[in-house]
Amino acid sequence: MNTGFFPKVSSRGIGMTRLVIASLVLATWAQAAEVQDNEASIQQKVDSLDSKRGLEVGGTIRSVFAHSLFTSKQDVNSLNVTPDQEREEFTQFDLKLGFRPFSDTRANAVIRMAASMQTYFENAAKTVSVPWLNVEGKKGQVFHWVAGDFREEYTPLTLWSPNVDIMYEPTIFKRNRDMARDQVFLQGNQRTLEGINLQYRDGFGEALSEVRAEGLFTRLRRVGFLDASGATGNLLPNESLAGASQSAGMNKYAAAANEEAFAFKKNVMFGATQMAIWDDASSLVRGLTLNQGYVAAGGTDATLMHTYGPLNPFDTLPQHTSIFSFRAGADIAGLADMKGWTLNVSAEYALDNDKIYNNSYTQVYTRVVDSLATALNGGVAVYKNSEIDSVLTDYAGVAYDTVRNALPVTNKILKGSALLAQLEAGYKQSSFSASLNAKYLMNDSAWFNSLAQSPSFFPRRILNSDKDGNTVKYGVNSPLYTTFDALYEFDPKFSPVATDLGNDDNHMKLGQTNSYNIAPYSKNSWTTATLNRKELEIVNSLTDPRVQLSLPNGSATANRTGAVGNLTIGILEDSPIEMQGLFSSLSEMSGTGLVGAKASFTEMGAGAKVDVFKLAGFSLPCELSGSYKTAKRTQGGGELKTDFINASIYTRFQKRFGITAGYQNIGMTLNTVAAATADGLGVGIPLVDGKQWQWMVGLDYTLSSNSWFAINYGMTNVKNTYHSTDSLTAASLENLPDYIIKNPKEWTATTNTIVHEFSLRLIEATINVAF
Amino acid sequence: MKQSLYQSSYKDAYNMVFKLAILTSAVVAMAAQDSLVQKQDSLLSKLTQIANSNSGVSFGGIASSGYLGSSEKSGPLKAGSPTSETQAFSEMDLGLMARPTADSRAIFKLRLHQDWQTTYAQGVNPVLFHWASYDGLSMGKTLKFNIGDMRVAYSPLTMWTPQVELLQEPEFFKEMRLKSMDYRNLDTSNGRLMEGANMDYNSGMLGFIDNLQAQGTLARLRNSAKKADEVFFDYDRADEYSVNARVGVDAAGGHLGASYTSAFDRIRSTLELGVNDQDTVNFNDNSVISLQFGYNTKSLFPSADYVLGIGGEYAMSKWTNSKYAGVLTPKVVQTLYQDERVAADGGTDSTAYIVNKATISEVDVHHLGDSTLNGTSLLLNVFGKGNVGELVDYNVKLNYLKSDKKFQSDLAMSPLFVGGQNILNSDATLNLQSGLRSTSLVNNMRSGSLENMYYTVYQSVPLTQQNLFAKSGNAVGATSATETEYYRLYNNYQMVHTYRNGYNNVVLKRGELETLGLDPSVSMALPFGYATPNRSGVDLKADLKFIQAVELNLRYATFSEDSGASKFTDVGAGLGVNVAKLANISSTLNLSGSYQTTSESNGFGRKSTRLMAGIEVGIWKGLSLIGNYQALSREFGTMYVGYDTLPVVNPSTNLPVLDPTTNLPITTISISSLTKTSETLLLVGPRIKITEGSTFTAQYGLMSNKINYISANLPYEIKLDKTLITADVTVNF
Repeated sequence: MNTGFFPKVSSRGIGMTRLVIASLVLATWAQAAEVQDNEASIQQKVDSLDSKRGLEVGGTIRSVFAHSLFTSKQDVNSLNVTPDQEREEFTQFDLKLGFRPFSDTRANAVIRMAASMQTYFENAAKTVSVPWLNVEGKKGQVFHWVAGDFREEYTPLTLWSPNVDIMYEPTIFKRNRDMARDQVFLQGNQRTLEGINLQYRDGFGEALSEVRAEGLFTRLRRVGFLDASGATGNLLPNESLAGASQSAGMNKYAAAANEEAFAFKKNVMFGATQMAIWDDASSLVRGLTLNQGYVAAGGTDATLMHTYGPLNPFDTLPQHTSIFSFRAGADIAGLADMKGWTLNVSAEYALDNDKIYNNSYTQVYTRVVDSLATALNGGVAVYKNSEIDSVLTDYAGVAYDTVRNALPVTNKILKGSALLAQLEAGYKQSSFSASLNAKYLMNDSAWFNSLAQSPSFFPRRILNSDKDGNTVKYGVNSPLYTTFDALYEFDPKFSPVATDLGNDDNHMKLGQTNSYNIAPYSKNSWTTATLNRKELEIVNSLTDPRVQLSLPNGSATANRTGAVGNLTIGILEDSPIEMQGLFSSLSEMSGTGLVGAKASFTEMGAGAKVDVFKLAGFSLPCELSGSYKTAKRTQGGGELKTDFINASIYTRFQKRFGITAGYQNIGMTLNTVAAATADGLGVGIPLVDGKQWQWMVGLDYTLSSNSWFAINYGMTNVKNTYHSTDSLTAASLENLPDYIIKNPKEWTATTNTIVHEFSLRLIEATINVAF
Repeated sequence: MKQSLYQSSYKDAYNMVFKLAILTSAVVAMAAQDSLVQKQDSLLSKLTQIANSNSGVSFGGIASSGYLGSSEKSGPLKAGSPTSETQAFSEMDLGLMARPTADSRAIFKLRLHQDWQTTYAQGVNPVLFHWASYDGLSMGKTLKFNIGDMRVAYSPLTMWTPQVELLQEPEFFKEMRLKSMDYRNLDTSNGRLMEGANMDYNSGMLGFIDNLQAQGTLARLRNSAKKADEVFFDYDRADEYSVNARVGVDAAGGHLGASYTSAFDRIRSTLELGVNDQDTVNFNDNSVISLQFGYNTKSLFPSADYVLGIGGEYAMSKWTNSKYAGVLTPKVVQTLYQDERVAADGGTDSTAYIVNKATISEVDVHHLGDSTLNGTSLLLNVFGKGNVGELVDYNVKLNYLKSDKKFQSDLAMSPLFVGGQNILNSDATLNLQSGLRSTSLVNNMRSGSLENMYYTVYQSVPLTQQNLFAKSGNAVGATSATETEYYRLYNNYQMVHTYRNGYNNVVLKRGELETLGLDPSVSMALPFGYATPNRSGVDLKADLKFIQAVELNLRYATFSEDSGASKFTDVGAGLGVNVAKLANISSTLNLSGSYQTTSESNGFGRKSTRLMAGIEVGIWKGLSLIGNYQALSREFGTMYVGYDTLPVVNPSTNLPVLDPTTNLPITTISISSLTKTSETLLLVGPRIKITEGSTFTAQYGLMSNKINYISANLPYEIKLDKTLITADVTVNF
């Protein structure tokens, strides 16, 4: 459990409290009630005085300047009128306050103050918000509770936040990724939740070394209306798809219990987890919304203009998922007392029961004639609670008859299972270490656990996103998407440029793109959202195969079986030379996609890191690292292949001054079968060959691993080749930028391909100080 | 870095302990003369001084995380109506205190609120900044000043907040009521919540004079919207200001004083913005002059174990209503423009200046006249308090009030509790007969008096045009959301704090007070405290405490309208018993209960009866079990009666009967009326005291609200039951 505040050991005396109480005991002829009231007040005052000692202040100050210049050979005529440049300039101060009125209780808050640079005259540009708030406490060293924001992880199949792994990721890029993740308080694989978390851990001698009993209760979603066209709170703004809007008509809760026992000096482990995620159907709220169908049909009656409908018409049926997990493990090296060796095995088996419906949308509307009101209305029908009229259609475009009966909704319980077995073997001595991490998983296609599967990375377009226009929401399929942009960039308060510039309301209305309003929003691919089944389907259809190909939802990814292995070798003391290799072979357990065949996934990679200065005996670092990974998905005759190269140098020529440089190159190819069967949102013409590479060099002044000042310059280049056997139409080009759609001269009829090239030049200056 | 923090902490602690050691000896020295309570008060005040004497900045506040689930599963709910509503939240009321000098402090209070779980939807979750004040002492500690937010009281007829008195209110109820009040920055003092400046000079001993006081208070009570497109909830047609002063002298146990208070609209603030054609605007100007006297026997018999006293106040009020209207007035306007003209030589290079006259209509604001009401009020009281050895403590007070119908004192009258709001389960839709007055009558009562008094819903939600009160621009009736000028608010990037709460912190005007529709179960006899106009009568309040373990409260009041027929009788009694103390056991066992009934003869003929009971049992260490129960019935008499014109219906066909000649439905007048509500609220649950002021509480509650009403001449009864589950952990720091 991590609340980010509570120290392991508290050191505080209670001398003052005792002294004050003792002085009051001297007088015994008390007036009970008043005395008690006063005692309470005095006690509180003493505690409050004590709290001055218990105040802890920490935080992060972050200042970013980034300038990104977009160029494309295909847009020499500037058909795209949006700015070629995007400037991010902001300062952010996360002030962490921890108030500890006495040693075992604490109240914590993070107050985030943010300002864009050079907007001091715009009051709204400066914001103060509360992204983190909780109270927590402990009883001795065995019981810890927290209510409010918290992070927790149990196991990869139960409670987990899947991350993206990049072997020997260059420091110059990784720092940006860390900052982007920190925006949403992501740490490791811990899931961020809001609710109550309890943790009990105690030991009972060697035979039963430790017993853990943990439990949590959280509300995952509250009833609330969200604008479906906005960027905030929607996966895909303005899409009529289940899961596109995260607006909830019902409260969604989750509760979990986790029990673990560690026996024989913690060398043997047994554990079990029970979880439930459910919608509270009794909280289903309908709201007064604009009746799109009626308005579109030219309806003018003001009383019918708005109708009571579900807050989210694509999420009206209560979901319920229960998950049970059992696991066991043994540290064989520990049991056999093998010094220098690591050898442990563990396995987890999880089951889920998920309630699913044959119809995602149902709403019963009954229309009852109010006979009295009708008579008073001269015989023109007046309906009681006139919620809907026969001329109306719902969001899904279904026209209603006079009385709409419930759609025949049936549900069934879909049962899924997942198995994860792990082996860790290693040997370490002073000048050599080796460790092998291998896992085998077998997760069937019905397996569903949103608390373990919801990924923390949902690739979004970040820099120069105005250029993409309406397709920006399709992220990975957006024309100007690059993996680097999604992984490393973020903008906490981005204001889109209206496509029709002007500052009156009409321009503001006309200048909106369909997917994003002109309101500012936070651009970031990193998220803490826990998704429902439909949302997860959307997110999974928009994963980036370059970094999320085989296990987009971590070890809990559904419909996978196979093995993953990772070998790390360290040479010399403190491993100045380190090498890694990875291999994975996975396949789907049942066929998916347009092909319907089972896909199989293979990944191979290797990398090394050498600290040259350490080898030469210097105290300052000079790390050279590099890695290569190739990954492949084959399905039917289709093949998607990616190659990912990382190269990095990080050196400090003084105690704090250093130079960093990084290079990344990703290639992705799809053969004709894979391209022809590519499905997904926003795919018009399939990409068959995507090349993207970036380099960046910079100077930095480093205080600690979390505090630095850096100035970097770099460039991202992209060359995407699209191919289609179909005839060319504007619709089929939807994932190409507007300047190609407006002027598709690049199209060569003989090859049926379009090559699109663009580049970004980046200047970044960052200050990040954690204290 | 942490180590150094702790080191400095220990050093501070040492200094603190040192100061406390001195204080402790002072307490022991005083013990011979003063009661323990006085010593405690003194210690508390010194602790506060210590806490406040550190220069620099300090933090304090309350943090809580909790859950409130309200489930409404009975009653005439419409099909598909949600039956449950849940609040799940973390909240921190963070106080920041800065002390530039040893005798002054600036206090800023921030409210941080997060609802679980909206991180995916969250734009900017704002921090609410709800209190800013700078308070302190100056001029050798003789001048006390408050700038910014403040609570100031002069006297019951001039500047005062009348409190709700509930006899022996059990613990859960009291806490919840205070919390609901706190959301509106209200507390249990009689100070009037205002924003402005207050200066209070107290000379101290000057020869034979014990104290000479002079006080002045300035406040802005209301703020009119200054921009046409930005109007928020607490808007008004005009800025309203308050200028107040009082002087007083204390000598030989006696007190003489005079006060002046006022609340007036700044008419120009409205006229500057313009008044629409045919729009009538009323402006109020209210001032009160009051003379006070008092005497008690404390200085005459300083060693006596009783104090007797007498006091009184005579106030004269003036209330003026100025009526203005926008009148469309024709006006001739002249415009001068330049044009070419044909010159004598036939050229067109000559210039002419031409006057164009036109008649247009413009809105002029006319002052239609003033009407003035002058009123008086007299409040007298006698009291006695003291103790008979250790056996009985007593405090008895008799008040006499005579106020005329025209008496008006805005700053003293505005009530704290108004009620009538939909608090819990407001999304639930009741299935009532549509189109009749009874619908709105019942809807106004669906949340009940107890729910209004004890519950608040507080949320941080995305700001949309629906929760922003927009003056112009038609958001609701528009054919498309994009057509409104507020579309830019129709996004989730910004959030706002919103709440549903039954309390009032605004200084209300005469017109607003008259139409308030106050809850008859709260201070029916004196809804506006002792400043209630049109009353004559007495009340008697007696509080007795036996052997510090048994408390007895007795109340009797009889007031009648000075002009009018209504007569109010209020009788109440409360009993609190510290059983553990009586039985001499160390654990906690408290029992409390009260019964109070108020009735109105003639007039509306209303009646209200309240019964409360509470038990607190200490189980083990900090764990106690608490049970609270309250039953409230309200009979409204003729307060809420309405008439509807309805068609006569043929019962066999359920169709209207038509007039054979006109072929139109035959109509009849039907009565709709709200007759009675009967409410109960039961709360039980454990409480674990983590430390003083920091608790974990779980509550199971059952709330029932039975409403009897008449609709179309027929009596109906509906019963709304709610199951309430609350769990929260609260940490004071």
